[in-house]
Amino acid sequence: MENWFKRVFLASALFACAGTVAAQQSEGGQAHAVDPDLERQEINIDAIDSEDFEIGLYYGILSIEDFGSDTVAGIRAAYHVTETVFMEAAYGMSEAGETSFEVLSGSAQLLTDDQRDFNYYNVSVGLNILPGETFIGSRWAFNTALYVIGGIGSTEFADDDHFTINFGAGYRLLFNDWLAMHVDVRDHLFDSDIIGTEKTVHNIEFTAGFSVFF
Amino acid sequence: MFKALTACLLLVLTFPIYAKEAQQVQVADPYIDLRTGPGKGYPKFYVAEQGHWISLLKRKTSWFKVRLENGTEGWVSDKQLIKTLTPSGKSLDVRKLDADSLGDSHWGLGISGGDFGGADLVSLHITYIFTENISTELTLSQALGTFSNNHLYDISLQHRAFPEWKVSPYFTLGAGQIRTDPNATLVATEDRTDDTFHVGAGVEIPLARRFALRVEYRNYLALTSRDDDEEIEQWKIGLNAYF
Repeated sequence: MENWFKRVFLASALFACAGTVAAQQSEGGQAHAVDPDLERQEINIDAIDSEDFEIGLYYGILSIEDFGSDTVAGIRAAYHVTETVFMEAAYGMSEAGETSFEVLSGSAQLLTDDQRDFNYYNVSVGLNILPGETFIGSRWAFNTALYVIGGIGSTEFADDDHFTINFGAGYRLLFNDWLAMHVDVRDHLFDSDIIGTEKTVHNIEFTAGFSVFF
Repeated sequence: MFKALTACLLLVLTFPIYAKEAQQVQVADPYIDLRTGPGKGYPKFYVAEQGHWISLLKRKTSWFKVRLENGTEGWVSDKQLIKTLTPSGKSLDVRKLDADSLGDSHWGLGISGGDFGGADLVSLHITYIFTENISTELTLSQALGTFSNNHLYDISLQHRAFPEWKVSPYFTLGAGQIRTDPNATLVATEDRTDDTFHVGAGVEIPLARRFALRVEYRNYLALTSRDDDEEIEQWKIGLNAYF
């Protein structure tokens, strides 16, 4: 768990630092672009604060084929390229339970405890397909979007890394300009021979989380 | 760990401090539309009339959040913002945001997938652009094969010979390391790390504002500790965003 926290916070710190560097970069550019002799009020588009990056945490349930369902927690970072397209990188951690064979046989174990760690990362592309607003009572209106998302990555399970394809859909509700809530359903597919024969396994994940734009 | 968390929070929270006093522009066309959100799908709910001054608060992709003098806040597209004037009477220059070219971008972020000597490849890279011709790139990749997995860390230099072309070819040259982990189901062999060099070429096809599709080929030479060095071919296709 300690290790997981380190990864999560190092990753967020890394993204925050990248953002700072980018901000300084644009300010540096501005210093050169503006001639001090000109009027002070000239507009500089680059100086306007942009909020195209998003970072967040999520938590939910992952159903690992043949190994039951367990909780999953992860971190995601996204860059919004246009109003429709965004790119996302995510890292998630879960732990596989026992197969029905293991439960019924009593003592037989297919995997050791360490091998039951189910960690994945992926890089994906998302499309906001149904933007809209949600109304709560007569005072509140929140911007929302339904998005579809898909990508590739790797899953570390049973001491092996598996090339993994993921796809799914999600719903994003923005409380204000920078704070959002996500609900996401994703399928993670990979080829596995853990239980003897090679087959494509589906691991359906249902998560909810929060993210901030910066 | 708590310190790391605090530092991280501070970093994120200090961002708004960079924001300057809002810049103002004047509506030049008969009117411009304000929407409830940063996208075409959100409804128009207000119009700012000719002659009104609007403050530019922030930006999300190509949409600007503005505040009118009466306090109304809404989102305006960059295309509509061209129809406003700066305090000195010039029309606002938002071409940079519209351009197919990289504009003033200095950073790029890309994800891609492909084939690395028969193994499935997942790759993430960060680009820093020095000039329109020269950029450098840090790439982290994982190749997942039947018998082994490879982790690759590369740093490379890219040269764009024709940055003015819409579809822009480039050459790349770099070095890095490759770590090979044989699969667990095989008879135990040791993990090993080798230095690599690579040369390659690619092409970028713009899809939207500062967003491109990229196809790239690289030829890797792994300097192994065995008798022969190993040559590996890599193909990948991916998406690149510049900011």
